[in-house]
Amino acid sequence: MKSYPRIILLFYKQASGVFLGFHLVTIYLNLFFMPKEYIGVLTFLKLLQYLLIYLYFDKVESHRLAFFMNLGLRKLSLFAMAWFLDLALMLILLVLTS
Amino acid sequence: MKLEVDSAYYSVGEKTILSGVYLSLTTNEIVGVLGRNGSGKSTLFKSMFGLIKPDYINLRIDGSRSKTPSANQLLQLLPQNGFLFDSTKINEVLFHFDISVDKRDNISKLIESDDSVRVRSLSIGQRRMLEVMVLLYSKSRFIIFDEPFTGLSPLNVEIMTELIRKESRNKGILISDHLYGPILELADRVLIMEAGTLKSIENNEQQLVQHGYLKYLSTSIGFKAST
Repeated sequence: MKSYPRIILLFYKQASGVFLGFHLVTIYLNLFFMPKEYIGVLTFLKLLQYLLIYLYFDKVESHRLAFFMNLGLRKLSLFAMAWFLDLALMLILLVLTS
Repeated sequence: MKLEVDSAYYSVGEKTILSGVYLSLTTNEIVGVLGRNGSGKSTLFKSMFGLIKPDYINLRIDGSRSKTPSANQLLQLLPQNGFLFDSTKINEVLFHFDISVDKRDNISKLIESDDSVRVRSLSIGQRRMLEVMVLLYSKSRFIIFDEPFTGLSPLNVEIMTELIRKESRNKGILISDHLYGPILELADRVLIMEAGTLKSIENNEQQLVQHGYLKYLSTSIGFKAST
C-alpha cells in the first residue's frame, strides 16, 4: 500500500537538503516575525523555493525524481503536494504565533 | 499488453540525438538495446519515462495514446545513476515499493545485508542489485533497465541475469548495458542505436561487428562472450 504522507515526507527531506538555506530563512521569518505582515513575502519565497527545487531536480539531477516517478507519482503532482504541505504548515505557524 | 514509442525526436542545439525512433515492447518479452557511448540510448529511455521532455514523442499502450505511462507504476526506469537516496533505509524503500515479505527475504539474502541499514552503507554493486530487484518485484508491467550490471561482480551479473529472465514472464523489459554478453543472452530481440534511430539486428556478435559496435569477435581475441 502506497503511503503518500511518507512519500511526501521523504521528498520534503530530500528537497530540504538541496535548499536548506531557503528553508531556514522562511522558518526564521515564520517563527520570529509574527508573520501576518510577511505572509505575502513568505508565500512568494516558498513559491520561489519550490520553483528552484523543481528546476534543480528537473534539469540538474533528474534521476533523483525517478524514485518518486517509479512509485507512480507525476512530477507536478509531487511538487504540488509538497508545496501545499509546506503552505499548510506555514499557516498553522501563523495561527499559533498570532 | 504492448508499449509503443513512435516518432521520438530529441535534439540539443544543432545536434540530433533521436531522429524518429520507433520501438515496441510487449509483456513477457525482453528487448536489448545496444549502442556506442553517446548514441542516445539513455535519452530515449528518459524520454519514454518522462524524466526529460523530448521535442516530440508518441507513446501508446495497447494502441491508445499515453502521455505518462510512468503514472500508476505502469512503466518504471532504472536510470544509469540509480534512483535511491543515500539517506533512505532499505526497509523504507521496500515498504514504499510494496515488496512482499518473501521477496524481501530474497533481497536481503542476495545483497547480503540487513534491511535496517541505510542505502549509503551499501557498496555500488549491492546498491545496483537492490535497485534492480526492487523494480523487478514491484507491480509495474514494463521496466527499462539502463546499465543494470554496472558495478556488479561476474557472479552477481549471472545472478541478476537469471533473476531478470525469471521475472520477465509478466513484464516487458527493455535493457541496455555495455556488458553485451548478458544482453545477447537475455534478449528475445536486439536493437542497435545508430545515428539517432533503432535498427533491429540478429542476436549475435557478428552483427555487432558489422554495425561497428565491436571491432573484433570476442572469440578471435581469445575469450568467449557468454551468449
